[in-house]
Amino acid sequence: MTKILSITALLVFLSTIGLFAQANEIKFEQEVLDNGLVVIYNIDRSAPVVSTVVHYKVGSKDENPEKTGFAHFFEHLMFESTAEIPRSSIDKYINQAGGTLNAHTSMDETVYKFTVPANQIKLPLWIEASRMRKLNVQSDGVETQRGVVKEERNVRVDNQPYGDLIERMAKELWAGSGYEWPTIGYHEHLNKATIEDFQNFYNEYYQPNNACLVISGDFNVEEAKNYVKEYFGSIPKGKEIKRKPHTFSDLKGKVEVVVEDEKAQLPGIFEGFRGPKLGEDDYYAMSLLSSIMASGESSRLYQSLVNEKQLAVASQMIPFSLQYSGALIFVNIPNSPDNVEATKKALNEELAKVVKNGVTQEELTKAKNIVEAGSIMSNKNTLSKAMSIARYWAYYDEPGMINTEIDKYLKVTLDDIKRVAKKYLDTDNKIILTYMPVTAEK
Amino acid sequence: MNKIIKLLVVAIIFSQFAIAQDYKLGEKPEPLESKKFEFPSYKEATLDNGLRVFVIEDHEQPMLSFNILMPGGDALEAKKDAAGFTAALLMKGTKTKSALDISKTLDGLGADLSVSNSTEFTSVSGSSIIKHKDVLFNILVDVLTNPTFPKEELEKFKVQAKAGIKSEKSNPGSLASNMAKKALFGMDHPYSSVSTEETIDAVTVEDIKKYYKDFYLPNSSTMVIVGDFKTDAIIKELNSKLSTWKKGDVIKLDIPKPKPMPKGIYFIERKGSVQSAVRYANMTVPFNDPDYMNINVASHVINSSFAGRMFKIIREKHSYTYSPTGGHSSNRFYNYSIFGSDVRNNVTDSTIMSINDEILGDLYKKGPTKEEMETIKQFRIGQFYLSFESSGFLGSMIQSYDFKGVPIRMIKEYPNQYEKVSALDVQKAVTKYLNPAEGYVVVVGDPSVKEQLEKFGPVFTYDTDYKPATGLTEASIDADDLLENYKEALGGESELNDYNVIEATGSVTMSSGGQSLPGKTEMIFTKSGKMYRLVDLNVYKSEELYNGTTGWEISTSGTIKKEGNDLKSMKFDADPFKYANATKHGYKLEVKGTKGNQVVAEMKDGDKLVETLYFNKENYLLEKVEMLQETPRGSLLVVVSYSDYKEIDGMKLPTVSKTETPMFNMETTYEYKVNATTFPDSKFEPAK
Repeated sequence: MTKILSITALLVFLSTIGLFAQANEIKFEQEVLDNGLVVIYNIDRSAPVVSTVVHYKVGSKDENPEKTGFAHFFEHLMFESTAEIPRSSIDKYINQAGGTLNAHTSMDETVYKFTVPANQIKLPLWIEASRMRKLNVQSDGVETQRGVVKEERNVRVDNQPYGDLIERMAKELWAGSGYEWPTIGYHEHLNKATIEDFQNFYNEYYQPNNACLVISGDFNVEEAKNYVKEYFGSIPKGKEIKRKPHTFSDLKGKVEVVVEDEKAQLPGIFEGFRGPKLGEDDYYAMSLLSSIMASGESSRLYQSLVNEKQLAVASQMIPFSLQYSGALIFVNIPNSPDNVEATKKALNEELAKVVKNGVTQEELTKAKNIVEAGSIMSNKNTLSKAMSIARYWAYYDEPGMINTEIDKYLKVTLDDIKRVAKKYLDTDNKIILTYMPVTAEK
Repeated sequence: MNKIIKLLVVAIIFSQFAIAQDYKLGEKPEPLESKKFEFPSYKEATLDNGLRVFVIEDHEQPMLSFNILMPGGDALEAKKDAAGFTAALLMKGTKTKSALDISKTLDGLGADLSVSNSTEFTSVSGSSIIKHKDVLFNILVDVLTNPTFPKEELEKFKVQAKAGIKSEKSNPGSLASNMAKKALFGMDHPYSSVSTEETIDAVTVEDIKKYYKDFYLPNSSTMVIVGDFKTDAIIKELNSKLSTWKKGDVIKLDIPKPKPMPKGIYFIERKGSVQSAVRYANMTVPFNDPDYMNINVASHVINSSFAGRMFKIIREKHSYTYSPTGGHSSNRFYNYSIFGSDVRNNVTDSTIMSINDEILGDLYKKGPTKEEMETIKQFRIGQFYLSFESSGFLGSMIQSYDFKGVPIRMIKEYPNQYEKVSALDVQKAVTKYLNPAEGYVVVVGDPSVKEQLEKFGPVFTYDTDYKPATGLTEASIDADDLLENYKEALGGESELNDYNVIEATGSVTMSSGGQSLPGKTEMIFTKSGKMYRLVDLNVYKSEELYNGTTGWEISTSGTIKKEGNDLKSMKFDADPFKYANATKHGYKLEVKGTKGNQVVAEMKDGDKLVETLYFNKENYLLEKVEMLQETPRGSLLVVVSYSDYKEIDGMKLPTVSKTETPMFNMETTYEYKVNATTFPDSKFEPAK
């Protein structure tokens, strides 16, 4: 607990949960190599397992607007080949070691993940070092992954109901910024991209000084440090990355779009507002407000839209916070096309209510309890711990927040909630996407 | 800059360059000495009410979680959807608490309690941080013992359930897997039936109460509980907390037999799809069958994450797909393999060919490679050990083995059992259980994809409600006129009666699984209704004889005298113009509509569909006949098409016929002679 906690907040806090938050502390050790690579070691001996995470600070927002989809494309290309590793071998090596692997890309980050039996700890480190040192950016690998990524876009976007929702939303919410385009990118940009384009992107971002390696699990720290030194120590430091400034112009008025969706069987209403960015004070108040609005069956939106008025099958509020900006997206799935207008109205009534009156102490306590339980229950396996530590490093330069971030939630007051509700939700500057099913006449 | 410094700079630059050039990361590292795996400990206890409890301590974080498994589920519900509705409404009100009271209490603690239903059982699972366990247990006991199933909550849930059906329909993957189960089990089997607006409307509070009374019983159930507590203390606590959950009479688990649909391709038309969901479906064996593990390994060779053939071939070699999906089920009673991928429309057929040849065909012929077997084993066994990182994994394994009637100690044996499976076992499992000819291919895609599928066999088309999509438009002709036109096309009533003997001889080619067998055929029809038919493929010979009253089939395996329906259909076959005379044989014809250039009619025996006939819309000649034939391998769709009609002695007769089934195809070319020979009666009876 921080010392600036006010007496009233302390009282509220004690009355609500009785005791201080009591998650078992996650311990770790951090070092920085000469080439700038940050390495964090976290021991967890609950099972003979080791997870490694390499978090590169590069996401789709860092791309050239004329060359989108590169960050995500590398998520695929990084499994192709390196000086030491032949094509399509990484998955084979890891699988044969009895491990699993995966990777993900967002607007802000690209993250590579391995989990292996503890005695295989050297293998993922060797692979990560090899592809951080020199990835082969060659035409056969690029061509295969171009095809795979196109199908990925088909699965995720083009063949799903409401599939282009985030794409449309982002375009309106963050026009003119790096958050404007979809992480998966546009087909035509990937089609046009040359080997040289890809090589330049790699040289720019896939450098030790733009990454953090987290090792979590059952291993000996001193031994691990030696492996890290051996594999990563001599990778040359990359050039300083020139990041463009991220500025966002204010939203101007209400944008309403109706989309006819052949794949949807039910309508979908998606209302998007600007929201707080990751880590700012408003972010914690807004997360709790989202929980009050939409987490669990006793939440406001569920009770009103789903249970009492029976207009929707789902009513969610999703806080979508990014490194430099954020959004609040209300997801409503009316149970019939006839209920679209009524659902919009009911949602707006709930928003008006919370802007005007804020929330109750009981609701706030409940939301804090949910966050507390969640933070305890999520710190259970090595991979999720390693990912969290890496994210706290990437966005706050403070991996220790895995233990202390909970305090920021517990400090939020009723006034904070009311303030953020008014600040972010009391506005006509929003985007309303309404997806309507196209039903064939029978 | 002086010369020395310049040289020094060059040397430094060069040395860095040289280091960069020479640096070798080295070979792939060898594993360290492996850590000994210690099987986690657990304790089993039976509470006074008969509930068997498995307890696992885990002190990593101050929390607990549990799962109660109650056998039943869709497989045993007396009324469709009763099990699912009971699960959905269990927490919607008790004698003392409303649905909102319950959810407020749980949400307020960040605790979770939920009920879910599946094919073979219902689960109640919960979790919370340890300090809230009393509240969690109190709510658990309350919903298990005092649920009221309020009518208004049922009505609300029905609205949501109906919307849920719609949203499921928008997912090509679930459409495909539901259709695959329907093909495997039949339309309305408990393992395959899906909810509809009608089934949802029909559920009453009484149905729910009955399901609750029959299946929510501690003495048929198990509970696994994992967390930061002391084993003996938690058993004592559960015994007292759960004492009000009383024993009852346990219903026997008795599942109806599957009624598989005809073999072939099942296609669901989904307009606007940019991808086709392709799934292969086969029925396998119960969980405790000795072959189960072999099929599991085979299924992993085919499709297991990055290591399976689907990933290697369909994604990495052809880039047809992003992510292959599916695998082998792990039910207690009936299991199936359903796997496949979502691929772009124009490679739907290439994907099927590739799965047939490069994946299944190759495994069938050559078996898996040594490297494949090693990779899969290391991967799967490694995964098994890694899973123990979550103590919940052991809990769910214990509960699952126990439910499926496999001794719990076998969990420890899993790696050994898996290791023992050989490449030959996998090859055999593919041949016996995953052979596409014995199973189904299901495709969900845009209607334009259908024509790509026709080369693989009969295509049964369905809509997104799993109802047959006929694709027929209304015909302006009735059955009598259709038959009249057909007779005229064949030469007219008088010509069709003007013969004594029609004799056809010809050559046959039978092809199956890429091989073909040549052979010959002979058919004789007499005016008095006698028939002789021979198919001789050298390795296999079959003769059918009909003397006007009695029929026989003589084949390599002996002589069978025909009786009942078989005799009736033989009599029908003995008429060379049988379809023209269908009504005389006691069948009824119904025109269903037109499809393309054909008029479609169903020939029925009473209400039972016997054959479907396709006549050319212009010249009224019969072009195609479809019939379902029961075989020991399930019912098969047989399609016979007729072409190259020639005029012989005033009659139009087809000189080419093709028979297609999912197992084999047969093409026959005929030459006809009319009244050229006379045959003794002995030709139409077996030799004495």
